Amino acid sequence: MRKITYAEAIREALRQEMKRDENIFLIGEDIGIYGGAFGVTYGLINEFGEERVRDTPISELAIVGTSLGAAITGMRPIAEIMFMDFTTLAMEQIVNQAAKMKYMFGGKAKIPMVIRTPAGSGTGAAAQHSQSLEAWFTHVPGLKVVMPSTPYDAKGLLISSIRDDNPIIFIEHKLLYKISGEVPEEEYEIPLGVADIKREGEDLTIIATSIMVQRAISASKELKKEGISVEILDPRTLKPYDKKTIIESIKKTGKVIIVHEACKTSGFGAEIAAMISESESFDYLDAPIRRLGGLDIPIPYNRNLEKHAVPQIEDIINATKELIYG
Amino acid sequence: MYKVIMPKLGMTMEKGIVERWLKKEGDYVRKGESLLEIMTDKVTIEVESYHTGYLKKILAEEGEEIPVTEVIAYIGEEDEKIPEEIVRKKIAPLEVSKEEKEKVKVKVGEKEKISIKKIIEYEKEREREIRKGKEKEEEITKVKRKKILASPLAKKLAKEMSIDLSKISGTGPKGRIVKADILRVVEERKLKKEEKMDIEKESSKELITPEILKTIPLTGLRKTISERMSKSASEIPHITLFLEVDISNLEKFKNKLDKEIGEKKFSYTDFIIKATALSLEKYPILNSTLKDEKIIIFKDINIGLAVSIEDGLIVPVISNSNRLSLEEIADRRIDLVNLARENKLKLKDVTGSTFTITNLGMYQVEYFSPIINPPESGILAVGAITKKPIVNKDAKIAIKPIIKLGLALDHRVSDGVIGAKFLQYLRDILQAPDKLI
Repeated sequence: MRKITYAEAIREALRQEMKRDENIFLIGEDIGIYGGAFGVTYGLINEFGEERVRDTPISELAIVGTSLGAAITGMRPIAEIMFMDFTTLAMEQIVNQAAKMKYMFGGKAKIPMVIRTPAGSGTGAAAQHSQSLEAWFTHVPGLKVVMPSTPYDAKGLLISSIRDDNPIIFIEHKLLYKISGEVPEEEYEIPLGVADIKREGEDLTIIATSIMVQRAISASKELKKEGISVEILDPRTLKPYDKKTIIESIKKTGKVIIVHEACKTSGFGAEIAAMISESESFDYLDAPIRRLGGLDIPIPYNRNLEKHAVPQIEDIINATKELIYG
Repeated sequence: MYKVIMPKLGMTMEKGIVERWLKKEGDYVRKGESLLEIMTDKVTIEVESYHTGYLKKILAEEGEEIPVTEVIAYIGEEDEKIPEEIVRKKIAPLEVSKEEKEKVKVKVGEKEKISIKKIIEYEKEREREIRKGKEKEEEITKVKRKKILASPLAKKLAKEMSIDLSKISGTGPKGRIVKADILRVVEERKLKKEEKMDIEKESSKELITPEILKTIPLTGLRKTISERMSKSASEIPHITLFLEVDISNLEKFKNKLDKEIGEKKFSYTDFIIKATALSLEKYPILNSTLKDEKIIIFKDINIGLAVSIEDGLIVPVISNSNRLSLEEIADRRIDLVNLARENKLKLKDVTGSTFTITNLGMYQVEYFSPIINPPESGILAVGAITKKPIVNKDAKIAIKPIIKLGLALDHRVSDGVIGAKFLQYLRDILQAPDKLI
């Protein structure tokens, strides 16, 4: 099958959906001629014009507020927040308005909007441009949180997100934009709330999100040389997330590592770990649940320190061996 | 508040099982009224209350085995508050409540003035006791925690496969028992079973396995007998001596007595009990027990009489048999045998025997070698009385009633010669029954 990058897969999903439904439009900072900070929307302005690819002033609050207004009046906006760190500026519109409206209007309002935003460190962008804040949004009822780790998932999940009538936080990753993978040319949906087993294995389950799925896959190749067979599970959607697949995997392997880039403290891994303990899979645990997450520090500017602040392939390998060998 | 303790009901009793509470918490109980049933290794017995009051708290549940003198319940006034430390089985906060202090005052206060010193002493003592209890509790939890360092999966598997986690060692981090350890044990079990099956298979080619009619679990009295007899048979080196005794004179003597009373009250057993008791007086080494490298010889001669009952065998005791008249022995024997058959023996009826007599004569068994009833050192087996031709003093053959006696003794305590002398002496008495009066 044809291989394209994660950024190209997202662009293709946007293009195909915009062609399909004229109510869809893009809104964000420098997404037009410049093509967005990471080039994801590059070229779309030529295809769809300024009306449907709208550059805005530097105000995230205005971007989300405008999108929300458009959504409840019948449009299907796709907003881009240049860095996930900047969602803080739009929090009132996301948390207090977009997430609440359908409930407070007794179900009469539909909010078919997607907020695309890249998270994560690894580009030397320092503390204000490198955060992974997904856990915040999973804590707000009314929002769906999607976090693809491959080009294939990025396209399918984005199409599903666009077609969904609820506000969706679609979290991309800066380092994933350039990775390539097989992506069908036609449109397809990946249902929200369904996890994917990226690699099947017997000895241990690694539950990873976003960039950490790629690192877990690299780690699994190393571990395979030692005869350790790991299963890699990507929830893909964090809200709602697929408990059943997680439970089944743990019943099979008996050991689990949860790895994400966000700070370990109160990270989404804590939710998964707690769910496992509460579920029937508890009785199948043959080792304590292990979490790998970012250190409780702002991401350093120094590239070496930046690397050490979040889990790397080596960390996943070591943690796996510790759990396997004891 | 009065303590109810597990009573020590016999010389060798170390623990008892609470069979059944006859009163429940809150019930009024009078001094002398039956409070509960306790099962010792010999019998089930009703225990009477030593106090009048309300059964405030039961600490020992039915079925629990409790060492003697351990507190099993409390009896108190109706409105008396149960102290915290009793509620939590002696574990309580360190503070002494005001009421507690008041109680001490009242208690000591009868002598008018109460000394502060006494209260302080009382409190200190209590604190010490409570601390001890707490430490013990903590120790227990520590041991328990240590025991169950196992992963949830290992625990689940162990439960499914009935594996005792305390009996296997873990290879996980910090010695945690993990799945692999359980699987190892299962594998080992399987191998053992296969081996066994192989052997059985091998042998089953030649052997025929009998079909089972039914399986009876070893419980209650049967279990007690089983344990005591294996202990005796495996620990005590028995020697058994046999002697035939001409009881022509005894026969006449018995007939005479029967005539005098006008009923057949006496059994040969009564004469043998008395004669044995007198023989033990002469050879007291056989009226003894071996305990902790010491031979303890008893002054009291208490003859136990093995009585067969529906589900086994029980040995009621005729205490001080040497000092009782034949009539008293007969009365007591009749009494005890009836009680035994009706299952109404009390603990005092079955404890304290120093020597046992077992009789299978009524079943026409002539000889048998008995097993000593521990902790005793000797047992007399009585066989059937049969008419036999014997050669008398005048070298003539005469038909005489003969009884066969078998004496088993503990060879650690005494020797064959002592046993032989004992039997001779016993024979002499039985042949001159006047001595029995």
